[in-house]
Amino acid sequence: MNKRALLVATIVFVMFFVVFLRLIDLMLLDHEKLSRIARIQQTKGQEILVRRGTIYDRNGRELAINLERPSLYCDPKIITSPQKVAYSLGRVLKKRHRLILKNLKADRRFVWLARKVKPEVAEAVQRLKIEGLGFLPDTKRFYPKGTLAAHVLGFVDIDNRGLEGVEHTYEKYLVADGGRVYLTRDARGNILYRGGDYESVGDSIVLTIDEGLQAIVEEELDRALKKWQAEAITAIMMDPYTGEILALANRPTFDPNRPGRFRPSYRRNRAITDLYEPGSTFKIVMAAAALEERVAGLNSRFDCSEGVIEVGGKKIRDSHKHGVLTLKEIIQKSSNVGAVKVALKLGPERFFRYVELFGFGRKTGIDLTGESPGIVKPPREWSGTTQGAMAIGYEVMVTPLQILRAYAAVANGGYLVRPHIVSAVLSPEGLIIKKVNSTDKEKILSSRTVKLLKEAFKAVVSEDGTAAQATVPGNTVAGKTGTTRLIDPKTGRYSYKDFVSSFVGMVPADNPAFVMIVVIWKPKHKYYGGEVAAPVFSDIARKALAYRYIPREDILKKNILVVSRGIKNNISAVEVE
Amino acid sequence: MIHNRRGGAVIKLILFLLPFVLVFSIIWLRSSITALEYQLGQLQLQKIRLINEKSELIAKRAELTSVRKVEVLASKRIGLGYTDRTRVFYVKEVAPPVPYTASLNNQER
Repeated sequence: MNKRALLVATIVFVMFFVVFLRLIDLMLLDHEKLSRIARIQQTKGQEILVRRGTIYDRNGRELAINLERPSLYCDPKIITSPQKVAYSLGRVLKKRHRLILKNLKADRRFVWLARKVKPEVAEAVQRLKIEGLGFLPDTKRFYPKGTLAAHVLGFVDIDNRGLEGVEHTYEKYLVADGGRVYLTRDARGNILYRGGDYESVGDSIVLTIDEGLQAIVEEELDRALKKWQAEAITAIMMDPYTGEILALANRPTFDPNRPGRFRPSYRRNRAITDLYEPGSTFKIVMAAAALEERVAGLNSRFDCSEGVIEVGGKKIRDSHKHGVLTLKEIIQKSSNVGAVKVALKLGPERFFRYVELFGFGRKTGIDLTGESPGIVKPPREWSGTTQGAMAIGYEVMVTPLQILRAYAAVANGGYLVRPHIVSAVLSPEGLIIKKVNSTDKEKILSSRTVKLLKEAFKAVVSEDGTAAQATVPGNTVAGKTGTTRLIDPKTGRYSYKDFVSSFVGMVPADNPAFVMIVVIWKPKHKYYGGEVAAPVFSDIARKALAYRYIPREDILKKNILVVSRGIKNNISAVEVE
Repeated sequence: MIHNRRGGAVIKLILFLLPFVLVFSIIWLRSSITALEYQLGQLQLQKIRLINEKSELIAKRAELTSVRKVEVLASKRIGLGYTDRTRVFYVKEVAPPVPYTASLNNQER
């Protein structure tokens, strides 16, 4: 080997040896420190995207869903020229630059600049390539049907925590655990898959609400609100056999997508939170008690000819003198004098037992927040006027739902059901993890009493009754009107201009598809339940029956065309009007 | 002997190349795994993008198929309305016995 070759070989060897030494330094001596730095450089912690579960109506239509809307934050220590950044961001975010500037100059390392921005806005911000800005994945709760069923669904806050309605009651199912996931990335920011999920999804909720029925109810409430220029209206439609709420609406209402823009009173679910004196709709207690205790029959007669009765020093009057009335007529014509006479015959203890049996004075147990139990005084707290007043629905405070439940007991054969709004909870994979029990009911009335009460309530919705305007062509309706004076806060006495008008009924009367209550607070021009609330009931019922393909009863009585699948013209008889 | 000499040379060659082959195999394997991880990472991102797109589409569908909206369109644009129940008669369908089908109601966890 010549000298030159030896020199080259030595240089190469020395260089390799240096490299070898450096490798030893990097891989053995400084291993711990360098691998820690590498881990920091190569891994990126990312918040797991937490999606709330979806809320569906009973037919699987989405009522509340999530949209990905990232949130923009900044590290003010990294922002070099806040003024310039504030102007640029202000244009993109459509926010005042002063507000942004204030955040950019904050003495913190993390400040939110905009929460839940639209994807196109996020892209526009990213295009600005401003150092110190970043996005965190976030979701926005979105209610695609707008105000529909707003009081049932409720709403969430900026951090997606349920504050009202089903969103609040079923929070523990709807939310999922969050946390962080660590991603491995290269120098260019490309992400390497290391397993694990980047998002977690909560369980979904299936409601008992039917979007179609809900839309019908809300449309009619809007019309009634306009017509009667009322302060508020509530309507609830329920399946009397299972307690499933088919529709529940209040007016005024709010948009759950922007709850902050509405007054708190608009967001209140009056159907379960607002108490009112039910008036004549409460006569169901008197009538049921009298029939069940056999104190009176439907044909028992009571003299109401004076049109007034004195109870505890106070006079209770009828709207006009009726003469001698049977119990059925007392209900049909809504005679206060007759109702008081029947109640006095029953006595306080027996009367109060039925108040309790119907569930007044305690919560119905509906799975919504803010339900009021109502106010019912026990007999030991009664004054001289109480029994007379309670017989006609005064000196007792109830919610619309409590009254509806009482009438559902008549509709379903005497059972007190538990109203509920959720039918099932589904896992993210679509499996049923909880099914709400609809068989939770208690027998409170005998079949005989139910039959007699139905007969009386059918008479109410007849030409001679107080609710002739509640009729539905082709189907019989049974129900009861209610009209009560509101307390005038100025005088502390019953007002002569402010009323609560209501109607509660069932249709078809003999085999009800639903029971429904309509309560109208402070209607203008007219105030009788039969004139104000009953037509609203009728309008809703007519559409709802058509929507649910419930046939007219008069057609059912006739022989109708019967077609068997696969067999042509298997006709027993055809009779078409 | 000739055979043995040749065999020895081959073994020597194999022994010489083996470490290289092993090192390169390991490097090749590891780089393949990394390439796959890149692909999977991209797919994961694509999956997230598609999920987001799906939820946007679901939202749009839910908005467009809102019963209220459909009703307004049907009544105002096409002139449809609820059926006049006094002019409808119902056809009862008597279904023949059907073979056993699996029920979706038994999906409880």
